[in-house]
Amino acid sequence: MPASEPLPVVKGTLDVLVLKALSWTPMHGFEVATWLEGRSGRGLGIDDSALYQALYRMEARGLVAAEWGVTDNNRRARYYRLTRKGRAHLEAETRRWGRYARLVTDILGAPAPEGRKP
Amino acid sequence: MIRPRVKRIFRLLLRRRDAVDAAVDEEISFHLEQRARQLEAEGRTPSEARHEARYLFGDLATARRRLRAGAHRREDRLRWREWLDGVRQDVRFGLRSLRHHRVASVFVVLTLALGIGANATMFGVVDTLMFRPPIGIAHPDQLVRIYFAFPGSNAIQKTGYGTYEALRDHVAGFQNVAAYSPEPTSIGRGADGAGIEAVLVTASFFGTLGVHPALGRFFTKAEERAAGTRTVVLGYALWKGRFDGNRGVLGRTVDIAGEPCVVVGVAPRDFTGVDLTRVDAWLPIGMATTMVSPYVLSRTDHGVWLSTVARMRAGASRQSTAAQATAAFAVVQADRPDAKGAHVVLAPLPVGRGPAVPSETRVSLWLALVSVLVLLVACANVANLLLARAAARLPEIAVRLSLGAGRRRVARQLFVESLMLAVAGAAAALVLMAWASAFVQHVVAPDVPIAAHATSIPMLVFAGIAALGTGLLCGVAPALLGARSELNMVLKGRSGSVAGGLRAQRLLVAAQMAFTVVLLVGAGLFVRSLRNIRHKDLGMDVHHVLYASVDFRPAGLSSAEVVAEYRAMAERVRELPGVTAAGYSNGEPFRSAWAVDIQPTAGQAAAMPGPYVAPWGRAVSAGYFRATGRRFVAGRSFDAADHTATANVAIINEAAAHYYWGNASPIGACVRMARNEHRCATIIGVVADTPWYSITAAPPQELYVPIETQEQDWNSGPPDVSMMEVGTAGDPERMIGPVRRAMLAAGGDIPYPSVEPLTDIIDPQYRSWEIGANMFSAFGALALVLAAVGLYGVMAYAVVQRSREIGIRAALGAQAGTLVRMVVVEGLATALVGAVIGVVASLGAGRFIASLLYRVSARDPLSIGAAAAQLVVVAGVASYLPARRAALVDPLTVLRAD
Repeated sequence: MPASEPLPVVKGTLDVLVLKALSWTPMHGFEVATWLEGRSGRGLGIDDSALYQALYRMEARGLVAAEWGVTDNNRRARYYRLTRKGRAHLEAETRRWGRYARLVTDILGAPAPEGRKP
Repeated sequence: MIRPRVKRIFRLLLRRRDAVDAAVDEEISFHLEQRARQLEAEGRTPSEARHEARYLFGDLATARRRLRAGAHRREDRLRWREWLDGVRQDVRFGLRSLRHHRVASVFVVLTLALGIGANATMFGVVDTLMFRPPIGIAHPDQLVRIYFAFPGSNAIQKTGYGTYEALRDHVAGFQNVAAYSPEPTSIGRGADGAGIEAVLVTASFFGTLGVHPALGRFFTKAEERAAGTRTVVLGYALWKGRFDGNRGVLGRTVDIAGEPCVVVGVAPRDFTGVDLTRVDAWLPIGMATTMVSPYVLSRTDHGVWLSTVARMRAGASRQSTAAQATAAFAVVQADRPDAKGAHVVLAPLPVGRGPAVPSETRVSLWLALVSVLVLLVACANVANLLLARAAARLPEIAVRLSLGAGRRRVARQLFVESLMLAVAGAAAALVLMAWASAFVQHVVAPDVPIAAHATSIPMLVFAGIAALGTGLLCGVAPALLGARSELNMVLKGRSGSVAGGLRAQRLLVAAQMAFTVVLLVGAGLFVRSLRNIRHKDLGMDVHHVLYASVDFRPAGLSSAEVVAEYRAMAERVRELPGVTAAGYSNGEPFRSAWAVDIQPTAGQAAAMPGPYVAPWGRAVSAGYFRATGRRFVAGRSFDAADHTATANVAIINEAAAHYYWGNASPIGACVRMARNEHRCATIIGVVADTPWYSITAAPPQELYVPIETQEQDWNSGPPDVSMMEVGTAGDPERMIGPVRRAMLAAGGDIPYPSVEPLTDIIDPQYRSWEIGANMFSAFGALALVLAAVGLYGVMAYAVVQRSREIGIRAALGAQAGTLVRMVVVEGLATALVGAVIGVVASLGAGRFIASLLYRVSARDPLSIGAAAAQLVVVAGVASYLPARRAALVDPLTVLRAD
C-alpha cells in the first residue's frame, strides 16, 4: 500500500525495526535498509544515515554485534547480528508496541458518549 | 540475499581512531555503491543513480561527521565493556584460585590486614599529631603557636604574663592573642571532691580560637582578673558527668581549687583548646594568683608558665609579624642577659610541626615509617605467594598466551588477584583497627584522644589508598617477573623456568630479611635505652611514694596554720597499716623547690668548679627522708633533737657537696645562709642526687633544713608547706583511698586532697622510650614472623620443585643429614644476604634516631648482633622444616613419577 508521502518514523521505533530486520540472519547495513523498504513498500521515510546511527548506537548498547565479512561478490562489508540481549529487547519492545497500538486504536475508535451528538 | 562467509578479523585493527574513521567511510561508500547499483537495476543512468543514492543517504558531509562520532562513542563503550568483562572474568577466576589455596589466602589476608591496619592506625596518630587541628576551632590555619628560641638552646613555648601583654599590645600582625596554662586542681570539697584538669585562660582565649559555648557564655574582660567572685566554664564531659548535663548549672557556685566559682558556661563537646589533652574546666587567668603564685600576673614576672597562641590578621605576613613579636619580646626581657638574641617563632598549631617537637611525637613519626616497612615485608609475602601460584599455573598461562591473550592481559589477571587480596586485607584491617587503634593509642599517647578519630574519613581513605597501593605493589612485582619469564618458561620447559621464578622469590625474601633486621635493631636500641633509663638511680625509692596535698592557699591560712594542718594529717596517715612513714615539706623532687642563697665560706669557695648556682632549698618534717626512701651517701638524717626550733643543722646532696667541698667530706662543716649571717648550719648528712624534674638532666644542688627552723633561712619569708610524702610498704596505688580518707578525717572541711603515686608524675618521662621499645618490638616481631613464613614458603616450594633431584641424590646414597644440610644451608644463605644488607642499612639509619636513645650508641654492637642472630636462628628453623621433608623423600616414588 504505497502512500503518496512516506511517514516519518516515530521516535524510538527505528531501533526495533532494525532489530526485527536482523532477527533471522546477520545482514550488512544496505541489506537492512532494503529489507525495511521492501516490508514497508517505501512507506516509511528512513534516512540511510539514521539507519547507521541506530546500528552504531545499538552496537554500543550490546543489542547487536558487528563483524567484518565478505559479500558474495567479494566485497568487504560490516555484518550486524542480533545478540541474546538484542533478541530479548526486540521481544519486549514488540509486546510493548502491540499494547500501545491497541490502546491508541481503541481510544481513537471509541463512540461518542450518550446525549452528546456533534 | 547474500550469504556471507563471515571471516573473523581482529577488532584490534580497528582500535585506532583512523581505523575507526576508515571503517565508517568504507561502510558508507559500500552502502552508496550498493544503492546506486540497485537504482541502476531499476533503470537509472549510472550518474543519476549515484546522485539519487547520495540524496537518499542525507547530507553526506554532515552524515559522515555524525557517523564517525557515533562510531567513536561505540568503540569507547565496547572497549570499556570488554575490559569490564575481562575484569569480571579475572575476579571470578581469582575467587576460584583463592578458594583453592584457602590456607595461603587466609594467611595473606591476615598479613595484609596487619600491615594495612598498622599503617592506618599510625596514620591516624600522625594525622592527629601533625595535621589535624584540635576540635572546634574556627579557621585553624590562621592560628599560630608562639615559640621563643633562645640562642644556644631549644625553642620553648612557655613564657610569662608580661610577654603575653607585650605580644597582645605591640604586634600589629596579630588580630588576637591568647594565653593559657594547664593547672591540675580539684572540684568540690572534702569527700565530694575530685581531681580535675583545669586550664587557666585569658578572656581572649575563646574569641581567638573562634569557639562558641555549648551553654551560657565564656569569660568577659572584666572577669579575667576579678578579685571578687570567680567564674568557671565547665568542660562538656564534666558537665555531663558531674552535673548530669543539667542546664540549670548556670549561675550555680562550685568549689574549684578551694574557691567558690560561679558557672557561667559550658564549653563545646570534645573541646580541648589548642592542645590534645582532656580539659574539665576553664578558669580565668586571674586565679593564677592563688593557684600558681601571687606575683605571676605582674608585668615584670619572668616565670615561664604560660603558652601563647595568636590569630593572624588577614594579609599579615608571618615573617614580619614574627619580627614584630621578637621586638616586643626583647623589650619585656630587656633586663635579662640570657634572653639577648632570643627570637620569636610562629608555628602551626599541631606541635609536631613546631620548632620543639616532643620526643613522643618524633618517635611516633618514626613508627609511622616503620609501619610502612612492615607493610612492605607483608607485600613481599603476597608477591611470593602470587609468584608461586603463577608458576603453578604455567601450563594454563601458556595456553592463554598461545591463544593470543596479551601479556598485559595475563599481568592484569595477576594484578586483579593481588588487588582482591589487598581489598580483603583492608576490610579485615578496618575491623582490626577498631581494636588496634585503641591499643596503639594506649601505647603511644594515652592522653591524646585519637580513638575518637579511629574511623575518620581520612583514615578510611588512607586505608583504601593503602590497599590499592599494596595491591599494585604486590601484584606488579609478580606480574613483571611472571610475564617476563612466561614465554621463556614455556619454551624451555619447566625445570629451567622454576629456577628463574625462585631467584625472584629469594630476592624478595632477602629484602624481607633486611627490613626485619633494621626493625629488630631499632627494637634492640630502644629496649636497651628503656632499660638504661629505668635503671637510672634517682636517689630515692620512687616506687613506694605517694604525693598528697591539699590546696590551703585560697583559705588564707598562715604558714604556721598550714604546718599544723599537715602535721595533723601526717599523724593520722602514719597510723595506717601499709604506710611506712609520712612527712611533709615545702618542696619536693619532681614538683617544687625554692632557691636559697648560700654564702660560701673562704675554704669552700676554693672548691667551686663553676659559676655560682643557687641551690634548691627545702624545709622538711620528721619522717620526710624515710617516706621518700631517700638514700644517704654520708652522715645521718635529722633526728628528734634536730626537729626543734633551735636546731642548727642541714643536709645537702652529693651535687652540692661536690661543688663546695670537692672530694673532701662536708660532714661537720657548716653552711652559711645569705639571709642570716650569724647562722652557720652544721652539715650532718649527704643524700644521693635526685632530679629536679627531668630524669635526664643534670641533678641540681639541694639543701634540706628541718621545717622547725625554716623561718630563718628564706629571703622573702618561708614558702608554705605544700606536700605530704607517704611511704608505702606495697603498691602505693592501693593506699590512695585510705590516705585520702585519713587526711579528710584529720582536716575536717578542707578542699579535696590530691593523692597520687610519684610514679604517675615521673612515668610520662619514660614514654618516648617505652613507645619506641614496645612498638619497634611489636613491629619487629611481626616482620620476623612474616619473613620466616616467606622463607619457609620459598624453601618448601623449592623442595617440592627439586624433589626429583633430591630423589636421585638419595638413590645415589646421599644421607638424610646431607640432604637436610643442603636445604638448610640454602635457606641460611638467603637469610645471611638479607642480614648483611639489613645491618649495613641500620648502621646508616641509626644516626637518625640517635637523639632518641638513652646511653646507647646508635651503632650498638649488641643490638645489631642480637638482631642478626635472631634472624639467623629463625631462618634456620624456617628452612629446617622443609628440609626435613626433603630428607623423607622416597627416591622410588619420585623416580617412578617421571
